[in-house]
Amino acid sequence: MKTRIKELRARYDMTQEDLAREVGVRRETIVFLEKGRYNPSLRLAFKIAHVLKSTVEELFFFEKKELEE
Amino acid sequence: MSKKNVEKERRKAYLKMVVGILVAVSVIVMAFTVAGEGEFLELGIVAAIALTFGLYFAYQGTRDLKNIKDGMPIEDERSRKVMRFAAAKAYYISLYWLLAIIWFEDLLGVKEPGDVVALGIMGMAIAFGLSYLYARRREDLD
Repeated sequence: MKTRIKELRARYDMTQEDLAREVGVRRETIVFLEKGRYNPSLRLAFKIAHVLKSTVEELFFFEKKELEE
Repeated sequence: MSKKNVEKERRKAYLKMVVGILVAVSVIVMAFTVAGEGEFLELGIVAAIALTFGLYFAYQGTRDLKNIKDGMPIEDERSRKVMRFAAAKAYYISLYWLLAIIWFEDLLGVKEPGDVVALGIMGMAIAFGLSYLYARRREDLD
């Protein structure tokens, strides 16, 4: 899974700590999310989308081959 | 985080740190009191492992307190998944460890029931520690 969290975070000049604080998780979780190494719960995905003024579909996406696996 | 939650998280962090350090100190003291003459190697190994655990809990506690000071929780959905994954793996490893103790009882030289139990518990604690370190780096925790 890929994410645009880092890109949108930079748009709002937010650090990983800022985002972690806003959505109520540890900074390590944001690190793993940005690297695409963690699948968040729906609740967390929506929280992040809300903070970054975006949508879940815009923030998280799978490449076609990953969906076909 | 609300002020009430911050206090609650802070108390949890201190409790984790204190319990971890107390367990490590207890193990070291117990090892020194039950060790027989000449059992320096066994004593050294037990003390080293206990010290590692104690230092880890002290370090983790310091990190948790820093996270709380920065307004972040000490545990979240991912850290809880890591703990559950590590506990599940450690359970399976522990089963085989306990079987190994029974099978190689004579080779290990453990005769006293207390020694067998202590060895079993030590192995289970190490299994959990290693499983936790492994789980922290994993991607698929589902």
